[in-house]
Amino acid sequence: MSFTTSAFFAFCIVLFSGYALLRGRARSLFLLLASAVFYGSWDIRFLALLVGSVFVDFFVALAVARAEGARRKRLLLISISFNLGVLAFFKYAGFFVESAAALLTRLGVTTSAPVLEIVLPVGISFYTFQTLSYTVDVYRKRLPPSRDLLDFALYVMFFPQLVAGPIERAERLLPQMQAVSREPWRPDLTGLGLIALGLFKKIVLADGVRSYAVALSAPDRAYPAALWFATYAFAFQIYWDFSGYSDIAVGLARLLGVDLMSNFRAPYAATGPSDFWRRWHISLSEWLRDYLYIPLGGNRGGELRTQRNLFLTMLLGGLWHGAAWHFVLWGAFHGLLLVVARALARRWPRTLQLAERRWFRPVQSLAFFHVTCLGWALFRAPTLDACVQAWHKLLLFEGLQLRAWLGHLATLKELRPAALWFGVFVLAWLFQYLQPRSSKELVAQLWRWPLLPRALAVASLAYLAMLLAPLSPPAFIYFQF
Amino acid sequence: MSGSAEAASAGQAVSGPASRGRSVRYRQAAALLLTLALFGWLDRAIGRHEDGGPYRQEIPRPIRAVRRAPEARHIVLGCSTSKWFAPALVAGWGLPAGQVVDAHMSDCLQTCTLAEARALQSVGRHFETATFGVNLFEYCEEYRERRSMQEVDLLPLSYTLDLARVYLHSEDPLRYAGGWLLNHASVVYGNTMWLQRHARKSWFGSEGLHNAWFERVPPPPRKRREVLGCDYVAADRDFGLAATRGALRALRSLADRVQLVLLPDRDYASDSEAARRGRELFTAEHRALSAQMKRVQVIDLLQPQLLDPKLFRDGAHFNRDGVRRATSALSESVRELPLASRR
Repeated sequence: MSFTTSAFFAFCIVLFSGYALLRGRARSLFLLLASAVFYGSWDIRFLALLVGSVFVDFFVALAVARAEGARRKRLLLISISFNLGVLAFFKYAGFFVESAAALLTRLGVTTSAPVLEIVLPVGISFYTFQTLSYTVDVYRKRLPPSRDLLDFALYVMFFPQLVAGPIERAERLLPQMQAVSREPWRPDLTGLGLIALGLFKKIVLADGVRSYAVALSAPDRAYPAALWFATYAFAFQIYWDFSGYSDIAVGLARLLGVDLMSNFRAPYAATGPSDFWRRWHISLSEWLRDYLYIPLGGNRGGELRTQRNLFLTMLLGGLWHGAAWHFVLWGAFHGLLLVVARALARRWPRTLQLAERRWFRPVQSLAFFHVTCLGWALFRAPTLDACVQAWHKLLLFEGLQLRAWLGHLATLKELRPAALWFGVFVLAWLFQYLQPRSSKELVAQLWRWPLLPRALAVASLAYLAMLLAPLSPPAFIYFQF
Repeated sequence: MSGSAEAASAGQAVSGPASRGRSVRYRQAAALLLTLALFGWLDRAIGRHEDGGPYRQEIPRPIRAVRRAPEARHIVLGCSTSKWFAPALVAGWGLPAGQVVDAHMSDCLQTCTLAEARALQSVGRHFETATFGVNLFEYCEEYRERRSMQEVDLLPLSYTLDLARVYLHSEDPLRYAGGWLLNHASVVYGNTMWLQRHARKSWFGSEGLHNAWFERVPPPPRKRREVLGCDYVAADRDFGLAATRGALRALRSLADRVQLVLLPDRDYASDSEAARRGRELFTAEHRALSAQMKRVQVIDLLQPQLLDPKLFRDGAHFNRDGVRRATSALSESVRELPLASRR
């Protein structure tokens, strides 16, 4: 049951009616039940895994808080092994078996690797990271363990952010889940604005531009100019798709009286790799920083170690996205960008001063947007060969062939929509550059408008999304992770 | 005097914020009502537009046809695959044409027939026979949540439980319930095929660009046609049969006798083993369904003379030759059936 389906609309009517009528623990229980229905609608079997994860981390965290010395570490290892084990089995087992078999075949060893067809439970990468961070925080004594299974289950299973984040920390979300049963319901109506914005981003923009991104799956057949166009299309598709999801999630949570974190803050306005990761999928990059980069040593232990840690963190961040080598390559690309940017900043610190000049910022931001696009080509290409072919053309080894491609588009009578979309890309980039804010901040700004234009803006976004919704809405891209 | 002025000003001071709060609430309510009215007007304007979609424009036509035929004793319902039924019945029974009213509706699947029958019943119409056709393709229809537009337009609210009973048999009842709610919220929700196919395509490009836009050597152009095919055996038949059952129930209230006509599809018209199995299952399930209901008779047109893929212009509709043969087969079948009006 995706957010963009009519089924979800019906679900919301039942959910909000029940939520408004119930009080106390009955309300929490109802919200948990609704979250279970929402998640179980994909595949009821996955629900058992999710519930298992809730039980393991709830009881392990309680035991960790009571234990002393080496026993604490052993208990933490149980949680880490369980969460990463589940993730490894469902997400990576097939990938590693296939990769090992391919390697052995290259080395001349004939193998008959078993074909593993494991169905990936939706949202597994998100909720395992969320539960894992809870147990680690309890281990680090940053957080007392939850003593209420219902509150903890709600923290893990809260449906708006269950399948694609934001990956919330227990210290932020758990107290809000406790408040569900203890405090009166105070819906924050800015949630309506966020939901309308998210639906518009997903249905009108991301799903509308989807057909242009397909060129990245067959770069060998594309004009280089068409491939650049497809790369822009995918860069904005994935942003509108994922940030649209996050906006709807945050909006739904606000209507339930819960405040989730912002996951995006105008990422294409970034002027460099560190800046980009402070704006793109913020909850994941913060998670990777706190639970991977810092435990690896962070920036302690010298420059070389710092760079190694940065690179490894991004490499694993890439692998987190999916069990495929092109995701690893994408992670490595971003790791390399961080390492190079850090080295440049140390070697030529004056370059940074140049970046602070007003005229240089848009140039730098636009240039870095194109660098990001090169990364998206790796992310979208289906195989390593396709990655190589895409980069060969994007780096203009075959020229741009713009005139030939435009002539081809004119023959197909597709010039006008392509020009329109290009205009949309330019406007979207400019908007991000001039308004480098999160959707929460943008909607807060909208809420300062007088009521009538505000209501018109929200209703127009929602109405357009409803009219232009495809008959079979495609799933959100990040559901596959 | 001065005391009362002080009291009045104190009263103002006390009631000031409260009255200001009330006035803000009134302004908010007025702004929301205005927005809703504006969108309601826009919604209806799009819905009434002549290009607003073939499905919406089709809905009033059969109802008007029934109103214009007060003498009609026999009615034909179903979708476009039933459009040749009326002449066949007239020929078979040897009745004047005005006795049989053609109330079929384009894209009117089983739940739409349920709604149409209840709508006619609620305006006090009753018929001697109601003839309703189903084919295998109707069990693979994917867009029922949008198609509930016809149900929302036609079904009197007092019969909503009839529809709920059908929706409960689907794999995803919430999807249908959501479609029904959205069709109530907006008159164009179920009718956005036009927006999808025309407006969106001309503004933002076609979703089915078949990749030619970026390719240096584009594939040869193909004529794109809607494929009407159905894997009946694998389809969600529980839902489809519940919908047919619901339609038959409504039709029994509308007419003394109901004739359920089983129609072939191109995919199941061949002599392959898979097609034969599909046909047998389809026939057996519908015979079992009608056996549970009084006054429902099955007319099986999955007959050898109609089982030829060449008789179809697409997956579900007969071509001219097919219609000629099918008309003759249906006339033959109904000739045997007694008619109260002829006695």
